[in-house]
Amino acid sequence: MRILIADDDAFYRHSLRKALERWGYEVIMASDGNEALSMLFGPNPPSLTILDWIMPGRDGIDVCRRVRERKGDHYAYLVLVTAKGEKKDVIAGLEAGADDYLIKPFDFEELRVRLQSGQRIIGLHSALAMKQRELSYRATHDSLTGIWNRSAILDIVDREAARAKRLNKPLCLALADIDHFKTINDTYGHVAGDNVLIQVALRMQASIRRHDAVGRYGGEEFVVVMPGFKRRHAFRLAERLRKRVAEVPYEVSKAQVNVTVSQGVAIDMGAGSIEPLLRAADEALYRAKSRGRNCIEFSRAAAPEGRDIYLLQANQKAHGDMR
Amino acid sequence: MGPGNAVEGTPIPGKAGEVLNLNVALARVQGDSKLLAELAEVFLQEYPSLLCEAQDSLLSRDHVRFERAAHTLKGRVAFFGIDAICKQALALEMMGRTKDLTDAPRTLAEIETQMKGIIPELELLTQEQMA
Repeated sequence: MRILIADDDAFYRHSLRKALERWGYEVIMASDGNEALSMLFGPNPPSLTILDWIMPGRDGIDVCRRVRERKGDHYAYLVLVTAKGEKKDVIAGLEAGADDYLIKPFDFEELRVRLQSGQRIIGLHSALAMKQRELSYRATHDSLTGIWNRSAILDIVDREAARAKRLNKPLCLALADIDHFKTINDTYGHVAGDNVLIQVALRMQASIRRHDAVGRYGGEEFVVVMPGFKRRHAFRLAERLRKRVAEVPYEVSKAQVNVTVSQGVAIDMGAGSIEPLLRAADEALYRAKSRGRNCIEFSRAAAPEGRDIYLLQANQKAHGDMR
Repeated sequence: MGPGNAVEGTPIPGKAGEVLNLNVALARVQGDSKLLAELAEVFLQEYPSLLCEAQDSLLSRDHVRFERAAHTLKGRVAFFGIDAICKQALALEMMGRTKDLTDAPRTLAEIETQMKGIIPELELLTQEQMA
């Protein structure tokens, strides 16, 4: 564990460093409060800090307060050390945010066990933070494919629609549905069907730009969000997705199976509302299925009162040659 | 002096009659006489400049610097169990804080005299470890 010793007294810095290194800790040092704070707010902050109260520039109490004001995943365990031993000083130190308080000159054995106590707290905090991250991931990611789940991708659509409206930029949305997925499930089983879903999701994920997003809308249906795209670019990306999904057969229960997707694409030119966009994409998807699948259909976006509607070429589509 | 030789509670009298209680310091470092000797060496190396800092800040009537020097001295002598000097250093710290340095020169001079008796004991400690 990495420990910061912040003390303007070289004697105490030296004594603490020697003791801590003997106990197996990694030690870094600061000789004033500002230096300590920059280390605590730096890219690789220490887990635990032994902080002198009286220091030049910024005292230990102020460092404690500043650290506690800053929220984040990393918990900085602070041990305040000082010659101030009155009850009011202890209270002030702990109220400022110190986790523990040692009175100088302290006993090293006492310091050692207090550091162990601090390590337990730090361990608990790390475990809790990891659990929170895990829960947050599970709440936003599809458990089978690992891409965004339905509610997360709709949140993203909502956010991008608001941004598109604010910036007066287009927002493109595609609904992609695996063709004949029920047949795959019925023929090869649900485990095989799940593998196809995972592979399709991976291929789609690999085909989008960094600021696009793909999520599982439900069943065998996916949403692809493409901010800033106009019709021509939206078509290119949709075509890239279509080809990527279809180009290489899928290994399914020792068989090679061709899998394709149909897509309905809608573009919103700044209306900011997602329901009409989803509806338009859904209608276009329906047309793509009706036209024979493994193709792309575009739709016009709904627009609110008085706004110009961006009318796309109807029946614009592309057929692949892997059927 | 090592943990096996220490007689608990027996202080070592300094030349000025001051008391240097190395057993206190030894207990503080869990009986690690090597560590104690290293710290005594650091103390001895830094003491002259710390004393200079206290004297300079007193001459220039810089209360803030003086208070800090006294505070530092207090912490270091407390570590080695030099309680009487610790109390005097605390008094100096308060003088700096209250900006009343009237008695500071006398008290500082007393500390300096007393430390002259303590320093040889600390030097002996470092030499014993080197031997």
